[in-house]
Amino acid sequence: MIPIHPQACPGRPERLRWITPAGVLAFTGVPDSVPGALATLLRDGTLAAVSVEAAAVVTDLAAGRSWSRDGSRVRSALHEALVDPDGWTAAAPGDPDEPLRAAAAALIGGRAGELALSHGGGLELVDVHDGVVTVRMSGACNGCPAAGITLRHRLEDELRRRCPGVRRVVAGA
Amino acid sequence: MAPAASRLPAQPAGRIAALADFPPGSLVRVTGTAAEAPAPVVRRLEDLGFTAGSQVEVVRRAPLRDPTIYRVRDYDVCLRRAQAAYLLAREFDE
Amino acid sequence: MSDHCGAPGDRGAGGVGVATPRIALAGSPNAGKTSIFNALTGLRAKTGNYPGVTVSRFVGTSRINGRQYVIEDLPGTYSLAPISPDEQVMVDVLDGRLDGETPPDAVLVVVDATTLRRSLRFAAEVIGRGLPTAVVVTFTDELTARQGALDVEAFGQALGVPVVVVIGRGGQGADRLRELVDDWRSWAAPALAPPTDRAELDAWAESVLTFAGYRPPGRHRMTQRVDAVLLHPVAGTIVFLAVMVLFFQVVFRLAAPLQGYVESFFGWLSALVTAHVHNPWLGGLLGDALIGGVGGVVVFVPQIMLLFLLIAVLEGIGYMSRAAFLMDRVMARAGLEGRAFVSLLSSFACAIPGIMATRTLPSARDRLATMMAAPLITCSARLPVYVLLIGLLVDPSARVGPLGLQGLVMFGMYLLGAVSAMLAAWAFKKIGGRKGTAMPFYMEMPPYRIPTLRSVLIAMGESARSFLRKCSTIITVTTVVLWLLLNLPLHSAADLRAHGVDPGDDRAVSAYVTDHSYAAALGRGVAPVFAPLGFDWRINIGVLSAQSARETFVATLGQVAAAEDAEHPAQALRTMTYPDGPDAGQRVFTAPTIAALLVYFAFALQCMATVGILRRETGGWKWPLVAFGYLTTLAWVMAFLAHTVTAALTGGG
Repeated sequence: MIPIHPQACPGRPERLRWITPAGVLAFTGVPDSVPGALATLLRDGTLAAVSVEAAAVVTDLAAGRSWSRDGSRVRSALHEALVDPDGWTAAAPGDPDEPLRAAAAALIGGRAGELALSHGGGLELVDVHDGVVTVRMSGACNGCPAAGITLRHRLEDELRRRCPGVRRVVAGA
Repeated sequence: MAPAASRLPAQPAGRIAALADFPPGSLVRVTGTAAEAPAPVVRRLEDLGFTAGSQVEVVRRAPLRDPTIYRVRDYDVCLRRAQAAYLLAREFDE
Repeated sequence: MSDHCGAPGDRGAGGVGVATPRIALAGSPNAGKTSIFNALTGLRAKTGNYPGVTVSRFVGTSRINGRQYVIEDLPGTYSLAPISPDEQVMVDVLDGRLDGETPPDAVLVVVDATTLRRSLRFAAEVIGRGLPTAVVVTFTDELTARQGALDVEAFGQALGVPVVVVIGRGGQGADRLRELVDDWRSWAAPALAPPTDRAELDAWAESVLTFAGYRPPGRHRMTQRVDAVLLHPVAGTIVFLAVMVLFFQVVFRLAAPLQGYVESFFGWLSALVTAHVHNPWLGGLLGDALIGGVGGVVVFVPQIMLLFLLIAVLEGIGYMSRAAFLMDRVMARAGLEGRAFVSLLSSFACAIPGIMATRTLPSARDRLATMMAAPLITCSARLPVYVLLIGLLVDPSARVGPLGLQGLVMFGMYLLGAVSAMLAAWAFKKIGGRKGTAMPFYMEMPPYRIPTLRSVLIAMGESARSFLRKCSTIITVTTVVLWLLLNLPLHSAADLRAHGVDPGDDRAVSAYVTDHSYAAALGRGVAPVFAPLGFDWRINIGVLSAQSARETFVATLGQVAAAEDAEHPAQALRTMTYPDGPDAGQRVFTAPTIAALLVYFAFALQCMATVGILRRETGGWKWPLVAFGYLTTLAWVMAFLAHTVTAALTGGG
C-alpha cells in the first residue's frame, strides 16, 4: 500500500491534496485515464476532477458530495489506483518544471522565506529550469556563505520531500 | 522507516516461529499472529506496534526468564511469554 | 461495560459543564500527560471516580485569560479499542456514552515525539472521534538529543489539526498550550478523518511522518548501558536487593533522628501545657489527648515523607518499571503482574499510596486483588505497635546466633505481612474467576530520565497530603473521643471517698476514674468477643480505638495504663494485672496474649483512611466492606491460632 495522507486546500473545501511519495506516478497534470476504482468515482459523480502533482494527487468532489460521507471511498479507490501506476495515462505533456516551480514558490513564500527574514535577509525565486532552482538572496544572507549554504540546503531538502524533479538549488545574481 | 504494509511479499530467508521463541539479540520481522490468539489481544499487540511487517528486536529476558523486553517502533516494551507466543515472526538479516 | 442511556441530550443541559468548557487529555502511559495536566491546572486537581466503576478520575480547573476550563485527565491507554472496563470508560467518556456525562468539548492528545511511529495511530483514532482535537507533542528535546527530527509545522499541516510542542522540563510551550486551549472553538478540523482500516491507517501514518520530515530517534545510549547492569541476571538482582535494603534503611535508620526531633518538639509542647495549664481537665485533654495522640502520629511524618520521596524519585527515574519487570515472574505466582509489586512496595509506607498506585494496573481484576492485599503489607503505622509489643514479648538481650531476637521477630512480622498479602491477592484473583479474555501483560520500559525536582515534589506532596489529612482529622477525633470516654463520667470528691479512694492521690483517682469510665464499660461489653484471644477490657479499648488508626493503640494503652509517660508505657504495661474477673491478679501481657495481639494487628484492617480510599478508588462501599469483613475475621481467627499455639509452646495461658 502506498503511503498517502490528505491535506485540505485553503478556500477550496471540495478539494483534497493527497500527499504521495515523490515519483509514484511518472507524470503531472490532468490524466487522460485513471485506473478502474478511481474511474468509477469519476463516472458515478462522486469526483469531479483528478489531477496529478509531483508528490500528490488532487481530487475535487462533485457538487453535493462531502468528504465526511464520501472521503473514505475516495481514499480506498486512490489506494487501489496508486498500486497500478500503469493504469494512469498522461494527457499532453506540459511544462515538466511546473510542479517544481509551484512547490518552490510556495516554500519561498512560506517557511523558507520566513527563515531568511528572521535572519535579516530575503529570498526570491529567480528561475526553475530542468530541475535546477535558482534563488536570489538579499540582505544579511547575501554574502554570508554560511547562511547561504544552510538556506540552500534547507530549501533543497524540503523541495526534495515534495518534488522528485529537483536536481539542485543554486544562488543566482 | 519500516514498511508499514501488511502485504509484504514472503521473504525467502529465515524460519517462521513464535516471537517468544527467538533468543535475545534476534532481529525479526512480524509476519502475523497465531490462529488461536484472541482478537482483543491481537488488536492490543497491534496498537503496541507489533503489526505485520514491523521490525522487532528481542532485547533481553528477565533474570527469572519471563517477561522479555522487545524493541519495536523506537521504544522498549516487555511482554510475557504467553503473549509473545501469539506473534509469529521471521528472522531477517540486514 | 455501562449500558448507554436513551436519547442523547437527555441530561444535556444540566450541570456546570455547559458554562465551563471541558477539555479532555488523552494519551498513552508515559507520554507526559501528567505534566501537561499539571501545567494546565497548576496542581488544583481533584480526584474522584467515574460513576459506578473502579476507575479513578482526575479533574482540574484551568484559568486562562480570565476564562475557566475544566481539564479532565483520561486514563492512559494505547488504543481506543478497549480490552478492559477501565479502557471502556475512557472510550465512553470520549463518546459521551457514560451515564450522566456529556462528552468533553474538546480533546488534547498527548504524544511522545520519540515514539511517534507507535503513538500516531492512537492520535489518529482520537482525531477520528470527531471532537475538536489538538495534538500536544512532548519530549521533542529528547528527540533532538537522540538525533531524531520532526518538523512540527509540517506535522500540523499533515494532520490538519493544531499541533503544539510542550517540553515538560522547564515548561517550554506551556503558555502556547494555554492560548491554544483558550482558542478551542476555532481549532481546525481535518477535512477527512484518518482511516480506520488498519492497513490504510499504517499508510496514512507513514505518509504523515514522511511529510513532517520525521526521523526516529536513535537508541538512548545511557538507557542501554544502565539496563545492561540493572537488568542483568546477577548484577540486576543485586542492585534490586540493594534498592530494597536502601528502602528499608530509609524507613528505619535515616528517619530515626528526624523522628527524634519531632518527638522532642511534642515533648516540649506537652511540658508547656503541664506548666501553664492548671485546669486538670483542659491540661489532660490538651496534653494527653491532642498532643499525645496527634504527636504519636506526626512522629511518622518524616519517615513517610522520606519514603514517598524515594518512591517518587525511583518512579521518575524509571527504575520502578525495571523493578516491576524483575518482579513480574514472582508476582505472577499470585496471579498478579509486575506493576502490582510497585503498589505493594508503596504499601510498606502506607496502604493509601499503595492503593492509589494500583491505578497503573490496566486490569480491573488485578486492581481489586491488589487493593484487597495492600492493607496486609506491614505499613509504618504498625511499626510503633510492633515495637511496643515485641518489647513486651522478647527480652532485648535475647539472641539467635549473631542476630537479636527482637529484630528477628520484627522481620518475621514483615514477612508474615508480605506472604499473606500475596496469598490474599492470589485468592481474590481466583475468586474473580476466569470470565472473559485474560488481560495481556505489556509494560513500556521508558528511557531513564532525570526527574525534575518539581515533578518529584508534586508526586511526594500528593501522597503525603493524603497521609496528613488522615492525621489531622480521623486521629485527632479518635484520640479526643477516647480521652473523653476514659475520663467520663465525672466523679465528685465525695463519690471518690465513698469508694475508698483518696482524692488527693492522683494516681489512685486516675485509676479509679478509668476503671469506672464509659470506655471501661465499652471494653467490658466486647470482652466476650476478645476473651478467647486473651485480651482484657483495657486491651479491648486499645484495639477498638486502633480501629480508626493503628498508631492510636500505643497512645491508648498509655492512657489506659495511666503510665507516667504515654509514649513509653512498656514498664507500666509489663506489670499490668487483671483487676477483676476469673484471672484477677494475673499478668495481662502474657506471651500468648502478646502473640495474639501482634497477629491481630498484622491482619486487621484498622485504618479508616484505608477504608475511605478503598471506597473512593472502587467507587462504592462494596469492596471496602469486603476488605473490612475478611480482614477482621481473618485477624481474629489467626490471633486465636497464635494464642493457642503460643500457649501450647510456652505452657502458659
